[in-house]
This record gives sequence, C-alpha cells and structure tokens, in this order.
Amino acid sequence: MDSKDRSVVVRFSDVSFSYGNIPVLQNVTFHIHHGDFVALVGPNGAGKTTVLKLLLGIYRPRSGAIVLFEDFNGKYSGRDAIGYVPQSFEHDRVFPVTVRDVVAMGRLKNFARKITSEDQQAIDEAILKADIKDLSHRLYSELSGGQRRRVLLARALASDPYLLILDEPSANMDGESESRLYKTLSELKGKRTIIIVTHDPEFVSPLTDYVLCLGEGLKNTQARTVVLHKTEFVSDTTKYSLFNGKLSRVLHNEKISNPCCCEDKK
Amino acid sequence: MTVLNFFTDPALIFLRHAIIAGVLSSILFGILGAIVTVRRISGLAGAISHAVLGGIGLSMFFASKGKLLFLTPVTGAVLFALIAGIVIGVVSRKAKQREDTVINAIWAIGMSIGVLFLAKTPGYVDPMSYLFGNILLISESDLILLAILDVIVIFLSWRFYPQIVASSFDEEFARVRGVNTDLIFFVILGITAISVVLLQTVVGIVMIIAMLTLPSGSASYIARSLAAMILLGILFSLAFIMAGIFASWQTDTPAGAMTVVIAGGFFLLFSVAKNIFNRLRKFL
Repeated sequence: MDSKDRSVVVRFSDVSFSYGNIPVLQNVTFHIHHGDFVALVGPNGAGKTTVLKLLLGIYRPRSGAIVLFEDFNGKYSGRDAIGYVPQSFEHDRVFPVTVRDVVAMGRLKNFARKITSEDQQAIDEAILKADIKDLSHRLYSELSGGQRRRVLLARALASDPYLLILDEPSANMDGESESRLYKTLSELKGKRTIIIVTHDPEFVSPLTDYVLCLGEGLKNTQARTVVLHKTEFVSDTTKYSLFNGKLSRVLHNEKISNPCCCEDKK
Repeated sequence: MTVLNFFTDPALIFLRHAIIAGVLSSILFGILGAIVTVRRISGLAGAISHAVLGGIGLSMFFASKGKLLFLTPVTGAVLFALIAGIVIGVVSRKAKQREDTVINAIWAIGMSIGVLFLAKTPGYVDPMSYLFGNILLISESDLILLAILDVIVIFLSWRFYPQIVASSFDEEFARVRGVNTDLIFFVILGITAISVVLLQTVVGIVMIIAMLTLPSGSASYIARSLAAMILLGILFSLAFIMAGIFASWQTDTPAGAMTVVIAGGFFLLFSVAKNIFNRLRKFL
C-alpha cells in the first residue's frame, strides 16, 4: 500500500440512521484512506446496503456526519467521483438496450443530451478495463448474471471514479466472470479506493486491506455499528476457491481501534 | 374513389379526421407506450385512464342539472386524470406495500363514480361510447389538441432521452448520477394522464391501455434500443389503427375494438414467433 498518500476519502463520524422508528445504525465511526481496498462485511439484514446508500447520498444520516474526499480540496466531488456497482436492481427483463449503451449511462449528466468524443473514449476504456469487449454489441437482456455484473462494473468505471463501491460483486457469479472481475479489481487496487460489500463474514479476497464489520450489536438497541478488523491470509484450507484464488480470513477477535492508523501522521 | 376525391370530398370529412387522428395518436402510443412498458407502469396508466370516466360522469351529471357549467366533460376528465395521476404517483413512490391494491382501488372507484353519475344523468348517456370511443366522431379541435401534445411529447422525449433511458433502466443509478428521477417520473405520469384524456376520444378508455402496451410490446421483441422501440411502436400503432379503421369500415363494426383486436392478435403472433425463434437459435 502506498504509505505516502494517506488522504482520507471517506469519513463517517458518529453516524446514526433509522427507518422510521427502527434504528439501523448507531455510532458508526470509521474512515477510509486513498488507495485502500476495504471489505464491508456483515450478515444479511445487518445494514450493509444502508451504509452504501448513505455513502451514495441516497439516504441522509439522522445524526452524525459523512464526509467524502475531505483531503482533496474540492478536487473530487459529485457524481463522477463515485462509481457504484449495484448488486441487482429491478428492471424490465426485455429492456431493449445494448451493453455499450448501458456502459454509456456511466457518463450520464443531469440534463445533457450530447455524448462527446471524450465520453466515447471513456466508454471504450471502461469496456476494456472490465474485459467485456466481446459483449459490447450484445443486448443486456441476453447476458448471464455474471456477465451483467461486469457490464455494471464497466458502467461504474466509465466516469473514471476515484471511489469505487461494489455491492456483493460476486453473488451468483460463475467462476469465469468472478476471476475476470477480480482481475479488473486487482489492476485498480492502490490507484483507486475500493469498497466491497459482502455477506460472507469469514472470508474476503486477499486484495482486501481492511475489513469493516457490521453487525456488532450495541447494548439496549437493535441498531448496529461498524468495527474495524484485521485479516490474515488463509493457508490451512483448500476447500474455498472464491475471489479468483486465495482467500483472507477475517479475524473477528482482533479489533483495530479506528483512529489508530493515522496516529503516526499526527 | 380517387385520391383527390378523398382529400376534398366533404362527405368523407370524418374519415379524413379519423386518419389524421390515427397518425397523431400513433405518435403518442409509440412514445408513451414504450416508456410506460419498459418502466413497467402500464398498471398506473390503466388506473389513470379508467379514473377518467369518473370525471366525465361527474361533469355530465352536473351539466344536466345546470350546475358547475365550467366543468365540461374534457375538463372533468383532465381533473380526474391529474388527481388520479398525482395520488397514484405519490402512492407508488412512498408506499412500501399495498401499492397495487391502492392503484386498483383508484382504477375501480374512478370508473364506478363515472358509471353511477352517468346512470343518474337525465337522458341517460351510454358509458359505452366513452369506454370504447369512436375515432370516426373526432372533432377538429380534438385534432389540434392532439397535435400540440404530440409536439410537446416529441420534444421532451428527444431532449431528455438519455435521462429517460437511464432512469427507466436503473433508477437508483440515475439518481446517483444526479438525475432528478422523481421529476421524470411525475412528468411521465402527468403527460400520460393528459394523453389519456385526449386519446379516449380516439380509442376509448378501455382501449388506451391496450394501445399503450400492445404495439410497444410487439416492438420490444425486435428493438435494440428504446429509440428503436419507440419508432417501431409508432409504426405498429399506425398500421394497427389504419387496419382497424379499414376493417371496421368494411364490416360496419366499432373501429376502436377492431384496432385492439388486430393489435392484440399481432402481439400474440409476435410472442409465439419470438419464442420459436429463440428455441431454434438455442437448438442450432
């Protein structure tokens, strides 16, 4: 990991969130540095998607603050800075749209109509990065689940985002798509900040620098908070072949206190 | 009948109007139909179109009593369509559950109010004429309104095409990209509501939903983009309406019903053909 640039890309400060009267998140405090590859881990229903939607600005926190790109002096802001790969979304099963047109949506602006040559170039690059050139003229509706996920990754990469967020990227993916996906991510690692959401609380890809665990219940409330954990490479098991090969195990007993990684700097 | 004859013969004025109405409404059916279909909100459009009968019934009842005379059938219909559109829109945005129940309730209540008021209107008006419409009775002012609406819809769908496609495909992503997806949704519902009022004179309330879904459904089997689906939907609508007028003329039957039978038959044929084609392709 690049030790020179420790700029903070994401900072949650004491964030709480609830759906109506149901508390979901409380006292969530963490931050993520430039170039980090972070896994957000937690069982289903723990609030991972809620954290994502807070990050994306779809939800607003009930209290606390979420700051993105605080060390970048306004260099990055808004829609082009964040690339989002959803897990799935409801759409018309016969929606007539080609793969290239889906990737082009990653360059969408709020009112603009025109696609510039710069946009075209970015779309082509994103298609190459996500390794979907062979699919680019096919209809999205004809693709398999794994292929679609890589198309959505290309759509997110089309804006050349500084922060890439992937929701359960390898769920329902075939082996080939998964290895291509992790190959793309390994090429981006270190250059971009990457957050992956996964429901497997035990194992993560060896690309992962840190693990943020959701689901640690707090006393006297249903809400969850986020705790930073260490990982170690797995050498004692061969039965798992996820994430394009090796695995890292999440060490749930070894918590890292959140600000500790920045103490050297201060 | 020579061509010149057709354009000048005053006896054929209603047929000329019907053909112009067919062209103008095909544009609306093609554009709105494709958008409503890919967004899967044809149920919402159906509820709005049926609620319109409530407005028509209400205004005709009060007109017969000599009250609320400002409320013509068209303004009554617009009023009900917009109220239904707003209620349905808010429910579908806010409600997490029972959305379809509320939409179906508005569908049924609007229609029932219309039937009840029409039944109590002196000189009893047959609701059938509103339910199934009559393209051969369309007036010149209806045509002008349809033309204005066509221009507005063509402009909006051209100008905001990328935003419409993206928000129909993946609304959350479009929102993350800074698109005002709620505004797009409500504009689509509002335009659908107004179109429904104008189009019910062409094919009738019951048939609108068929013409919004069947031509664009057929088009979706071969289109590779929303734009292609819209253009094909316009061509299909036009072909179905013209065939419907011709067939009804030949057989002395209602044009609206004939149009929908043709559109529905074509859609079913298309579905079967596409299914066979897909199986063959897998087989080869």
